[in-house]
Parts: sequence; C-alpha cells; structure tokens
Amino acid sequence: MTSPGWRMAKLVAVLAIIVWSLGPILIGVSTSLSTQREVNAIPTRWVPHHPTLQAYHDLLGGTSNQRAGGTVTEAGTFTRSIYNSAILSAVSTSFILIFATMAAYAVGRLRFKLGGAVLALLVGTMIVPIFVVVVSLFKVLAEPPVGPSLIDTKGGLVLVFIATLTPLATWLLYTQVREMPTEPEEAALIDGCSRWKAFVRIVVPQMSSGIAAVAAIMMLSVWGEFLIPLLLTQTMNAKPVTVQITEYVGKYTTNYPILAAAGVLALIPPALLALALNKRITGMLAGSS
Amino acid sequence: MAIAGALFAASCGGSSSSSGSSASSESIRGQTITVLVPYAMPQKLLNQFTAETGVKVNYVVTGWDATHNKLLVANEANTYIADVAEFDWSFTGQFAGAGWVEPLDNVLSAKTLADLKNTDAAFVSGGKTYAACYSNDFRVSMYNKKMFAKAGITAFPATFDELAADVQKLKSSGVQYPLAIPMAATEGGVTPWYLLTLAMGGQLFDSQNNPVFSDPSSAGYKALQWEVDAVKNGWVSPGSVAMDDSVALNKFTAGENAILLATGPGNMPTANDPSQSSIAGDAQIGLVPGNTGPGGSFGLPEGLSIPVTAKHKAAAAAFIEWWERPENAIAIYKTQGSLPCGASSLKQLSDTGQLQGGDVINQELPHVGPLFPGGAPLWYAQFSSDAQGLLNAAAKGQMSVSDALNQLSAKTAARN
Amino acid sequence: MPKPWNRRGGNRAARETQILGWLFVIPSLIAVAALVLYPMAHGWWQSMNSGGFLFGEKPGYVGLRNYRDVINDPVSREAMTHTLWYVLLAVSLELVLGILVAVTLHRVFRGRGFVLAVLILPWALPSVVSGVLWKRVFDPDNGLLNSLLMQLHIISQPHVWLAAGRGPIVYITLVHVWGVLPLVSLIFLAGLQSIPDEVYSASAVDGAGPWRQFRHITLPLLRPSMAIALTVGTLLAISIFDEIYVLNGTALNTRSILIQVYNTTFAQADFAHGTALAFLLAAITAVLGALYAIALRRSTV
Repeated sequence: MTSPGWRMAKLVAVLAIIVWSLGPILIGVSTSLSTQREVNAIPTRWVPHHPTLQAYHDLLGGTSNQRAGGTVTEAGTFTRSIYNSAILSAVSTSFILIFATMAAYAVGRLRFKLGGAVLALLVGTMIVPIFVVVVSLFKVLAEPPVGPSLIDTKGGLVLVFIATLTPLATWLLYTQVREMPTEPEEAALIDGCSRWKAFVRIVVPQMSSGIAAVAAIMMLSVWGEFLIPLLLTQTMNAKPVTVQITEYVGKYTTNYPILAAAGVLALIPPALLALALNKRITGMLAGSS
Repeated sequence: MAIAGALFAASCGGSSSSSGSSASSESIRGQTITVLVPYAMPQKLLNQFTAETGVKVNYVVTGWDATHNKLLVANEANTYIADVAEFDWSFTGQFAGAGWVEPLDNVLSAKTLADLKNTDAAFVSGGKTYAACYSNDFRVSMYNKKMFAKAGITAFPATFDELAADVQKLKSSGVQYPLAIPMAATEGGVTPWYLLTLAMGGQLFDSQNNPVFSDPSSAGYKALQWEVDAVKNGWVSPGSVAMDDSVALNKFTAGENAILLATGPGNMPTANDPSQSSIAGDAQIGLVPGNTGPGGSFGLPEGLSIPVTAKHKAAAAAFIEWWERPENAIAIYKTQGSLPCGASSLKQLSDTGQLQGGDVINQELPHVGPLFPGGAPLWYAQFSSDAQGLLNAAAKGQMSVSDALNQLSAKTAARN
Repeated sequence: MPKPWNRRGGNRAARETQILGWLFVIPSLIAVAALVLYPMAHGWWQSMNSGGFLFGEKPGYVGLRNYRDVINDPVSREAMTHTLWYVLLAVSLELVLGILVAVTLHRVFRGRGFVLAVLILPWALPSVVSGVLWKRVFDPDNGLLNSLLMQLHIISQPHVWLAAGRGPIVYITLVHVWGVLPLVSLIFLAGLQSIPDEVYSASAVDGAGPWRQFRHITLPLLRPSMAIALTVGTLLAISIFDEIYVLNGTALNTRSILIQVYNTTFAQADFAHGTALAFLLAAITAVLGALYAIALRRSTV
C-alpha cells in the first residue's frame, strides 16, 4: 500500500529528525576537540584548525592547572559520576516500573474503590515545582525517622526519584492497561488462575513493549535529574554526572572544551540504552499497512 | 564563654606541644570535619593539617552557586551540612541576620583576627565578625598592550577623560569594540556598575545604607549612563547586553577588545596562557581609572565560617586558624591562586617577590574598600537581583537610566 | 459491562479484588506521601508564614499575605505572561512534531535503532552543556547562526539575538523544544504500542490509505497519550528555567515564573514568597490540566 511519495516523505522525516537532533550535538563534539583558544576565536571556527584530544585527556586524567575560579578536574571523578548515574538510573527505574505497573493495573483493571482518586492524587503531585519541597525534603532525608542520614547516599536519591517519577510512569502505564484487550486475562481467570498469577503471567507480558518505552522514559528522566541531586549530594559517593558536569563551570572562566567533552561522553550510556530498547519497543511491522 | 575559650585554646597553638593547647587538641583528635568551599585544595596540604591536629578533613568542593544553594537549603532546614563553610561577602547581612553562622570574635586568635582586619570588615554585622577571609578578590582593569602600542597609547588611562580619548584612538587603529563590559542580567553583569560608581568617586549607599544613586548628579547615575552610552557609541559590542563576565573575559582573550574594564587579578594567568588565549603575553593589569587619577575599587572577599549546625566546632576553628597561617595561605595561593587576605601573608608575598602582577596589585590595594562599609545588609541579595534585571533593561534601551535607577532606589529604600 | 470476575464467586472475589487493588497501590502511595506530599504540606505552611528576619519581622503565620504580595508584584505578573507564552509556543510545537516523530518511528525499518538513539540525545545532554552549545550558536560576535546567515547573505550585519523585545522568548522556546521533543515523542511512541497491528491491517484491507489511517485510527487512539504529552509538555514549559538562565540570565524581557521563584528562594533566601509563587504556578498548571481534560473529552464526542 505504500506509495513512492509516502516513502519519500518518510525519508525526509527521518533525515529531519537526524539533522535536528544531531546538529547541535555535533557542535559539542567539535567544541570538545578544540582548545579554549579556538572556541573563542573570532571569526568563528566550527571545525577546529588544530583538533586535539586534550580536553578528554584533562577530563579523565585531571587538570594540572588547579587555578581557583577556573575549570578544575580530577582523575577518576568523571567516570565515577557516570557510574553513579548508571546505578541510580537502573535501580530507580526498576523500582518505579514495579510500583507503577502494579498501581496502573490496580487502577486500570481492578477498578477498586477510590482507584480513580488514587490516580488523581498521584498525577496531582506532578504539578508541584520541586522548589516547594526541597527544604523539607532535605530535612526528611538528613534526619529520617529511622536510620542514619540519607544525604549524600545513592539510597536517598533512589527514594526521591521513586517518589517523584512513579506518578508519571503509573499514568503512562494506566493508559496502556485501559486499551489492552482484556480477553487473555479473563480466559486465564476462568481457567482458575489467581488474580496475581494472571497479572504476572498474562498481563505483564502483554504490557512488555509499553513497559520498555516507559523504562526508556524513566531511565532518561533519572539520568537528567539535576536540582535534587545537586542539593542532596556532596561527594563522589552519590554525585551523578549532571551535577559533576556543573563543577567544570568555573566562577570566573570555564574551559568549554572540557565541558563539551564531558557532555559528549555523558551521551554514550543513554544512546546505548536507546539502541538496546529498540528491540523491545515493537512497532508496526513493515508492510503491515 | 567557656566553649569559646576552649575553642580558642584548641585553635591558637602553632605547634601541638605548646603549653595549654595540647589537652584541647587531644579532644579534637580523631574527629572528621566536613569543609564545604568552592575552590580545590591540594591533598598534600590537607594531610599536613591532619598530621598536625589529628583531625581528618572531608574536603567538599562544588561550584560557587551550588555551594550557595546547598548552604541555603540546609540552613533553612536547620540541618547539619558542614563544619567549615564558604562565606561570601554578599552573605553577611542575610546569614548573620538569620543566625545561621557563629561569630568568630571569641573563637579565632586575636593575632589572626588582627591580621585579617582589612578584608574581614566585609564580614562584620552588628559588631561581630562572621568569617575569616581566605580569598582576597577585588576588581582591576586588564588591557592588551599590543593593541595599545598599535594605537600609539603609551600608558593605561588614569582618568575617564583619558579613557574616552584612548577609546577613540583604539577605534581608529582598527579595534571595532575597544571595551569589554559584561551587562547581562547576572551578578557578573552588575559588578561593573558598582566598580564604575566607586571609580567615579561616589558610593551607592550612604552610611545608613540608604540608596544614593537616583540623582542625575550622583556617581551611580553617571556610572550607569556611562555604560548605556558605551553601548550606544559602539565602545562595547552590542552583544554586551547578553554577555556575562566569563564571556567578556573570553572576548578579551580572543583579541576582540583592548580593555577588560572590571576583572579579578586572578584572571591574568588565563589571559596569558597560549592554550586559552589568542593574546597570550599581551595582557597587562591596569589600575581602574578615576575622575582625576586611579579611582576606587571594591573587594569581593570570600571567607570561612562555622555554621551553627556544625558538629565539630573546635576542630573547625582549628582548621580556619591553620588555613590563615601565612605559610599555609601562601602555599595555597601558589597552587590554586586565591590571593591571601592576611596583612602578614601579603607582605611576605610582596617582600619575596612572589606576588604575580605585584606592583599593580600593591598600588590597587589601598584603593580597595568594601561595597558596604558596614557589611552587606540584610537585603543585599534582593538588591542585587533587582539590579540585575533593571540595569540590563537600561543597557538594552528598554528602560531609561532614570526609570531603572528610580525603581531600584524605591525598592531598596522600602526594604532598608 | 459487567466483568466476569466480579460475578464469579460473588462477594469473596470482589473483596479480594479490592484488597489486591490496595496492596498494588500502597508502595507508590507510601513513597509519594513521605517524600512529596509531606514536604509539600511543609512548603504550604512555609508559604503562609512570614519570611521573618528578611523583613525585620518575627516569624509567624501571615495567612495569604505572601500570595497577595507576589500577585501584586509587577515583575512576577510580567513573568507570568512570559511563562504563558513559553507554554503556548512550546506545547503546540511539541505536539505537532512529537506526533510526526512517533508516527515516523513507529514502523520498524532498518536503522530505526540508530534514529532512536540519535533522537534521545538532546534530552540526554546535560542542560549546562546544552546551554554552552546554544550560547555558541547565538553569540553575536562569533556565533554559528550569524556566520551562517551572513554567508548566505540573508543578513549583512551580525544580529544580536538575545536583545530587547519578544524575539528572545521565541529563540529560547526553540532551545527548550529541542531538549524536550525526545520525551514527548517517546510518550507518543509508548501510546502507539497499545494499538494492535490488526487494527491497521484490517483497515488496510478496507482500502484505507496512510492518511485516512492516521486520521481515523492513529489520532483517536493517541488521545490518552495526548493528555499525557500535553500535561508533561506543559509541566516542563511552565517550569522553564535552565535555557533562560544560561542564555539570558534573569533578564526582565525573558524572565519566567521559575526564574522569579529561583531568584526569590535561592538568590534572596525568601522561602516564604518563593513557595507562595511556586504554589500559584502549581494552581495555574492545575487549571491548564483541567482545560486540557475538558477539551480532549469534547473532541471525543
């Protein structure tokens, strides 16, 4: 059914997506391969005349020049922050997906009393800007009812990410549950399956491609979190890459190549994630229309 | 007073064997303090402190803005964050007024307090000193000597009249925009106005901290008019209205401008580093011009404070004392460049010829005073963020100079 | 339509369903209550108390005074207007482009994984880095945009992009949309996951072309995702901050509500007025959300 004109339009769309998304990123790559001097040069140099890997070298190996007010890097800290971000993303997303899938199923399929109110409450929390909660959030984590302070720990951050992102995940999965055919589960129930078994064996697999898409959204959301970890971390114990990168902004001068190099490297894990999830996110098979 | 006395005893001993202090330093031995400041410190020096006192240091470096935000949130939550914390000159009124930091008058040794007297004036509120200065920052001008030579100018202008004449010479020698002045709506875009006001022989506030810049004959009014004219007359790039201080430095080091009007002396090495600057070797420090000769400048010192929520206050005091000892302050200056505050450290640096750009810095220092002689008031932060928006609007021509300054003055007067 | 499991076994099964329902939502509720609702209640309390020392007052309950103060402040009101512009521009762009991207990527084709990976990069790029890149683009002296336009002879003089007037709001919105589009596209893509293939093949048999399929199958089925995308897009645009702060500081002609909130709470430590302003912003978001819900319900009829 696919006409040549339609195919052409699609090719144009794909190319447009690539140019729009990649264009500014390439400026970042070019910046990371320049020296500070070439970045500032007038007239503009979009491709460095003397490309160098110095910025990557400084970023990963530490700057020899530790001048106050400028960009200072230390060996090992950047890779450590990438590691922290990866752990935070993976662990938070796992919990969020478990909680949200259960909640979405409960509200969307079980239709228990007050289900609608629970969903409205969860979604309602999304509209409050984080500034509002930051002071008391800090206090709750610094002096929790039980146990030691959670400031500067990955566990503390994971808890906060679960609380702030589960509502969106629940909402996304809820729309899924509502639109999925109910027959497979009904058949299982009539066959004598318990509710729990039907959920785990029938419903979750039915939702898997939607869960994969939501997983991508959640992992990237955690990866991009900035203000909360900025305020709740201090050392490399928990500091994620988004926060670490702001450390390369000096008070008086910023080494743009080092900053850009950090940005470029920080893109690799999310890009790999998207490639991996591509297989899980099913699409219409080519030629099905 | 008993606690203060103990703190004092714990911190003043130069060596751990000196009488009286050994018992107290015994009591802090084994403690770990958290230090939260925006500048790195060599581990080697920290190890020396630990060897000397037995106190371990968890030294946390984060950006200046991040440090400020963290301190605000933790203090507002009345929760521990660090034992020694950054204290910028702009914090004084707010942090002291809120009771977030300990006064240090009875905590540090009399010798140290006396040594820091000049710069610590910026940290005084209600007669109490809330921080010990460790970064002696102030504003100087920087210029490109090659461009000056090409334009036939032999010395950096000492007065604003000379500056105007030199700008014309530079323009005719081919420098399209001779001056770099950041005017974005950021803190860095406001400081040039502070500096110009002082340089033009005036003040922004009277001794009661009332604003005195709305009258067209006042130095503050003239200073802003001068900035707006600099945009109109093409002395600065039209892009200056969206340029912050770090970009202004970048433009200067790219060779777009001949004069960077207001910058920290600590940026000299950057401007002369060939990997970062196209004008390496040509950047020179100049004294900020004035009405009849080099004018006033102001300091932006940063200090170390002890939050009231600190866990190990005696060890924190010992750490501050240690940092301020001339040999340590000088060692830190040599590795990361923040100019010491103590009079004896400065003298030692100057005497031994270790001060970079020493002559000019020594000449500028007597002109340097705090922006608020009585310490930054309670409302400084509100004033600064109001000024950012209004001055920027004036520079863009969205608002007249008199409207902008009248609004700023009215808002400030209502708070004072 | 009565569900079989509600009839089967009568009350016992129904009660089990109720209990299971609660068990399934309790983990989410506990997390949200402890780390969002409780702090929110505290924030609400903060917004009803005086800022204390900052105003030379004793701390204490002041009712709605802080709300009145920020509503009467002309700068906050102007920031409110700017924010609505950001939302309007950003959300309409994101919806149109987001659906286009999702529909394009919904079909499996060779290289889709690569395109998907490229698509998410703008979102994954830390905002401080993206700010620096866009600064390079917009720089009036040596920026990409000016040098490109001058080489194409579209302009003869360098243009100052972030100057006075309304233009900067549009440019900053574009930067914002660049960063948020991946998320909106993924939301639509997730929505398309629930549309079974058979629906399309059946309609194809009926002779429906791609446009009719899009109009009569895809769009109606995307309505639930549209609600989410609208809400998320609005939430992100209404709290626009980084793009403005990095590119134009706190300039009055581009200032958004969240810049004003940040200025108030962090720069000035005035948590009382800051939280009041933030709650007002939340109220506006809620109103917009309700309007979307009504509009989407209308369009189903």
